[in-house]
Amino acid sequence: MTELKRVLHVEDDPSIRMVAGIALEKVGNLEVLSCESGQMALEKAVAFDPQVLLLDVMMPQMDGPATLKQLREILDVDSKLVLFMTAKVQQKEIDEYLGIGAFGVIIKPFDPMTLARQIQEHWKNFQQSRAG
Amino acid sequence: MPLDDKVTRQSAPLPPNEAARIKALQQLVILDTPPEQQFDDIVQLAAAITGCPIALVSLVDTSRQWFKAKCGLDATETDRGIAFCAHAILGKELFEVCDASSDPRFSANPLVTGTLSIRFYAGMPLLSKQGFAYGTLCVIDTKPGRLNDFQRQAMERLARQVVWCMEARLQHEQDAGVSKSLTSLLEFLPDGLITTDIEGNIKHVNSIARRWHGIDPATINRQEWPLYFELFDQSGKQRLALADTPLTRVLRGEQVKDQELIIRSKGQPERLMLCNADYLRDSQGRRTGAVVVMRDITANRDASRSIADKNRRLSVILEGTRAGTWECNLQTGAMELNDRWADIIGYRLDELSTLNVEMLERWVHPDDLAMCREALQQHLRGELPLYDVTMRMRHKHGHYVWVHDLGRVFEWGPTGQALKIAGTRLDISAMKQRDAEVASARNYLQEIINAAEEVSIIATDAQGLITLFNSGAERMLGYSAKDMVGKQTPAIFHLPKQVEQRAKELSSQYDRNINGFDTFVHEVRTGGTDTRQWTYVCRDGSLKQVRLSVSALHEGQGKLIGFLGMSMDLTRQLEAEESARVSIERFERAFAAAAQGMALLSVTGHWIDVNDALCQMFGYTREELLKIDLDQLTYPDDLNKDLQLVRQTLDGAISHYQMEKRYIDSDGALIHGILSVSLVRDSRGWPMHFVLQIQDISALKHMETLKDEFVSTVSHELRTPLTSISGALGLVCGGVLGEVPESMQEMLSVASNNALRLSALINDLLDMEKLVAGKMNFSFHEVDLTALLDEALITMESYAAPLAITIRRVGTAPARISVDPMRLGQVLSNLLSNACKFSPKGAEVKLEHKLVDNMVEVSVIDQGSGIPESFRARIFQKFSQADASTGRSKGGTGLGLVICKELIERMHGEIGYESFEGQGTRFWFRLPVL
Repeated sequence: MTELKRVLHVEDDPSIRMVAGIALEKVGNLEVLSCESGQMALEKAVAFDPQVLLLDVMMPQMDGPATLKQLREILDVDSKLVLFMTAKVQQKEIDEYLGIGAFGVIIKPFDPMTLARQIQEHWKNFQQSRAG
Repeated sequence: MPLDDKVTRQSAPLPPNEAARIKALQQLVILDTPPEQQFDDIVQLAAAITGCPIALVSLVDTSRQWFKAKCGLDATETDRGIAFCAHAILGKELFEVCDASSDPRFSANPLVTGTLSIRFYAGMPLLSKQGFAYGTLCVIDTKPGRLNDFQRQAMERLARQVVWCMEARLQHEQDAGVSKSLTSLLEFLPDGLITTDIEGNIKHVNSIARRWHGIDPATINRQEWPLYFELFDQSGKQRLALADTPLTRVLRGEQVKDQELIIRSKGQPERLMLCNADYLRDSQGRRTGAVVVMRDITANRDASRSIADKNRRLSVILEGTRAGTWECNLQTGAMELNDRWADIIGYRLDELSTLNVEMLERWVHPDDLAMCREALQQHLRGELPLYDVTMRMRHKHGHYVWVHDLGRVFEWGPTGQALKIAGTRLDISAMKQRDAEVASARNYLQEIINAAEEVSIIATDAQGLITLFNSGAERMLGYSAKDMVGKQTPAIFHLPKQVEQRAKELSSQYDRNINGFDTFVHEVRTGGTDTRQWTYVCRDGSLKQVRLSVSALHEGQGKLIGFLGMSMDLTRQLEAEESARVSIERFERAFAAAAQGMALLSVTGHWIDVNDALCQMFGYTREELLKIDLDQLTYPDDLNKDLQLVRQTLDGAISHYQMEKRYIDSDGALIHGILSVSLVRDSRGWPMHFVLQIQDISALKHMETLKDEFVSTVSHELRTPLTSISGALGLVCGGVLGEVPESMQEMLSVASNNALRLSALINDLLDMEKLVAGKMNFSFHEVDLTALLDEALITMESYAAPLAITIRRVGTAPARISVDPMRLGQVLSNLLSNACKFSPKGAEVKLEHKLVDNMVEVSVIDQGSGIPESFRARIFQKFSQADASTGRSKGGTGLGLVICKELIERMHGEIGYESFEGQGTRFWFRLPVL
């Protein structure tokens, strides 16, 4: 089982970016690359080589799903744990996320103290599903 | 012959008895009849004897003389005014005119002056016994002359001969008439009749005899008879020789009385004949032939045969059944009986050892005793072959039993007196009971007819007079049977105009005048039933529409004895039809004018009719739409579900259904509709057609999409800042950013809790909104409940820890269930957080599960204060919390339990609780185990 280290977080809201960043780094002891847009994520993703793609859904210009689609062009996305972090969690919305390749959804608002644990849990499941 | 005034002046006066004379003449029925030999002979003789060229038998009618016989003259009659004979009949002697030209009575007579030029005339009146002169026998010559004595006497005799001939002729005619009617009488006798001449040749066979022989034996040769019929002796075994037939026997001089023989003829049933034959004699008593009279006694023989059969059967039955037997000494009255006899009336045989006739008669029902005695006497006198009696006997227990006694005298004294009689006895109570039941059933049927309040039954005689008027008729028409029967005809309750109208129709149909009572029955006289609608006029003047069926009543022999009319009141039915018509019209109007799209669809899926609104909805004209299949208009994904429902409807599983369905309009745009379908069945339950109603909810759908977007946006927009706030507070309070000064800790905690509460509130509101709209989707999975419970426990530990609550799991039984794991988790965390919230610090919350029948029951048990009595009724209602102030301090929206209830029920489970104030609460839910 590969240890989880690097999380690419794409979020246009700076407050949330900051809170999530602290929650993952300080509480979860993870290495986080916070991007303020999909464009920025595309620029930095390859160099960072993330294990997890944590994407906000609603973003100006390029939204979460579009970013994921673009990332597929440059990354082996299938080997990454893809999670959408969003407040838009009506069932059909969740189905949509899963349909385009997300492994799970982190619901906003999230508990900063357990956020890292939630992601670790998904990581464990993701790795198991791939091994299976 | 020419007539002139002079002639009339010379006419003879009328005899004093002229009217009676004419009547007598007419009674001879001879005027204008053809010539007859006997009269012709007489005039020839008269002419020869007198040497006159002309001789006549002239009959003097009212205004003419008519010649029954003539010689030497062509004319058949002359006017009476110029007739010499008119003079001759005034006297009783020969009337002689020697020279007419010199006789002033005749000199100007055209018969004298004309071509005929009569000079001599001698006429002898033809006198009847009553003295009427019918006319004359006369001779005429063109030369004057005179008869000598011999000639005069000859004329007198010949005239008498003429009268005799005329009267004998009449007698003969009359005799022929009588004989003719006698023949026709014999012809139609119910008995067969055959006559022969004295030689034995068959002369006459009447119609019934011809029928029995299958042919008229007189018309064929005797040798051919066996081809058509054969005669046998009464046993039917021995062919009857000609010598033994009744007619031959009679002609041989034997007396033939009650000879029985059998006729077997082609195409006829075998007949047993009783024959009596005798000579035919003329008026002088001379034998002229023979006659045989035959009577068909086949039916009598069959009847007596059947009695014989019956007796044979009885004896068999006697042996087979335990029939009672009895024997009676008619001299002493002593009786001998068997066990069964005693048993029938409830006794043992030894109890009846002293029984005699006198005692026996005391047990016979008083009403039957006289009949019983009479039957016995008749049998003893030999008038009845059997003592055959059905009577009632008193049973030992006091009731009466019906018995059938059959007996016969078997010992006679030397002087012919009956000594002993013996017989059998059958218990026929059960049979009598059945008869009584049949009778009672018949009565019952009669009562039903009487009680048939809805049906009027009226019978009439052949002339239309009412003979039966049942209670239904009384009720329908308001007349009483008493006033109608034997007094009125149906005309009294019919509309005269209607009857006239019908009479006209019938008259023109049958081309003859039909009216009155015949109007009702004309078509049924020869059978069949005529049913039609009539208007009845009730006693109170009100009118009723009825359906009347008329049929003829015939006697056994087919004779018409009357008519039967049965009618039913159609008023209510017509009203129902009218109201049905109105409702159809109403439906049609509603259909056409409906704002919503409506259609009638055949069971095979083809349009029957569409309304304007539907055409408008789909954007087609009516003509276009009727050509397009409904399936083509349906959005393909929605087709199957609809078809399934159609099948269920046709199968009768459901009578109607409603579904959301998408259609494609003429422009290819999507239409969202709510389709309501009901199936119309006919009175026998067969599907007729579907009624479709399609409500266009496209606009509504659009609104809904907008609302969904709004809710999604709002929740997102609210949650985004909330995420930052609660996240930041969480980090601060969680000590991630370093130690928090004590003075701030409480305030931060307040902020953090309320941020969480706001978040929960938003979540609950969204859930609630989804549940209410039926939009919460469940993704069912087969899972192990214990895993879900363990997971919930772990999730809740971080919540419980700060409250110093321990959550303990109880129960290990595996239970596979089908649920949406996320939603079940939501229920568990809700119930567990409630339990933690309402438990005192340091308390224990139990999470327990166990199997109960086919369900698994999950309990969350706290040690809190329990739910106040006053709150229990509202516990699963929205926005309810036991105490607003404590509720707020505990956090929560008041929606949690409502959502739990909805979620559990949507996952096919149930939820409830038990609570004792001060002793804690147990919330439980049950879910079906797979």
